[in-house]
Amino acid sequence: MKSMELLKKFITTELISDPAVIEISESAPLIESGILDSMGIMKLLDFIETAFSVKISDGDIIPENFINLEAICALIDHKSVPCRVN
Amino acid sequence: MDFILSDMQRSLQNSIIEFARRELNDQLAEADAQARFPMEKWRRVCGMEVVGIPVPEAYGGQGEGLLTALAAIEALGYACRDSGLIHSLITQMLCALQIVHFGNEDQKQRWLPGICRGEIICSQAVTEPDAGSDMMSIRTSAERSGSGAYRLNGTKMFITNGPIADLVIVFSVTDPEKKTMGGTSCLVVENGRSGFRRSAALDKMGLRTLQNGELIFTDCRVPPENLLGKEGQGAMIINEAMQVERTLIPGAHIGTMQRILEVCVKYANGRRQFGQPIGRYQAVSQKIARMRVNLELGRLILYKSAWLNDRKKRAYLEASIAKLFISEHLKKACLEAVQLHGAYGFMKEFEIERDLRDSIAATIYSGTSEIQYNIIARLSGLK
Repeated sequence: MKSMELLKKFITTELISDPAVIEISESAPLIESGILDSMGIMKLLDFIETAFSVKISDGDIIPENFINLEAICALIDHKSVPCRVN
Repeated sequence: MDFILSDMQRSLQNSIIEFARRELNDQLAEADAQARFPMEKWRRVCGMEVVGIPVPEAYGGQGEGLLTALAAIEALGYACRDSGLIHSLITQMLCALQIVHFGNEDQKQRWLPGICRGEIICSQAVTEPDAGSDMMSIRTSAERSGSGAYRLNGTKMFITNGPIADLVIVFSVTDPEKKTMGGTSCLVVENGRSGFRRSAALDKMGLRTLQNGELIFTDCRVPPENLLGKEGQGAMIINEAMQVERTLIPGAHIGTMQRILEVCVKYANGRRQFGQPIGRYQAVSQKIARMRVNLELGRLILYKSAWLNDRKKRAYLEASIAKLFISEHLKKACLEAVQLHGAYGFMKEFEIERDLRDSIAATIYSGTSEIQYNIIARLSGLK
């Protein structure tokens, strides 16, 4: 669960420009809503690899893995069982 | 932290410098005037196995890292005065790397050996007449038919190697309902496919031996086995490719900046006015000092970017900083070099004016300087 909270915090503070949005649900669409654009993906990948000490390979950088928070957390879990936090 | 090149990398640079000086600089003024691609030199430089440096040995490459590839390109930028040829070669290497990173086994076996040998000339087609800096607004569409094949329609513009390409990696919209992040894909299109047409090379101010042109796709049928990566992965592939591109292209510029510095130092030591070498005047010596400062700083951030890449770390920020800083300072160095040489610098015979013309596009291609500032700001915390 800690990884989910860290991801939520990162996305709301670093990627969402609307200050009124302080919370997003785990199933909220990130790509479809435009929260994750091409720059957002760069920032997110950098954050995930640093914060969770995992390496996201080229083959894993596909939309399905970033569609919402649940998918991202599943990817992190898959890469580091269980999720490690620095 | 160690950004010193290894003995192997130094040795590679020395052999490339020796080769380039011997094989790549003849008849350059004529090729530049005629905007002619130097196919014979292309064969020679591909024979040096430069393209395959970062490609795994199993596919005809040398299996080295990005820093080694960068060292080789820097040596070419230093010793080969045909910046168009070098740019063409880097594009070839970048396309190979996209197939290495995102291609399946069949695609790697099918294309990479020929690309490494230079027998298959590659290009990457992203830019369109109405989609330059805003590359996510592309319109080229790839509609899937019942047979699974794609039907490609659209026009790509200013495409490097386009007029001579045997293989093009085309960034296209595969699902218009989705946003760019999930609705775009990369298709590999071979020359000769029905519905694919290459224009003649466009006439340019600089980089004249480099061939840039328009690619037109009209109901071009592309089989599903030519999809690079997964459907919907296009924007992500381009993102990753840009990081590598913004590390490799400035490598050639660093080599050129080193050469220009040496040419200027030699001239400033030898040219005498008012009874002493012009290098004794601070107006000249400070130009030289500025060139040196920018060269050293640019090389450091560039090596860091490649070094991070070889350690499987993201280098989006470093690559953008390197691209911005080096391209801007290459242009400044070329302009100062012309000024330092006075009227001689303005003459074609001294070949500095060609370096200046070639440098202008450096702050435009692979993301303009303005776009690099935007990227750097976003990666620094701006939303």
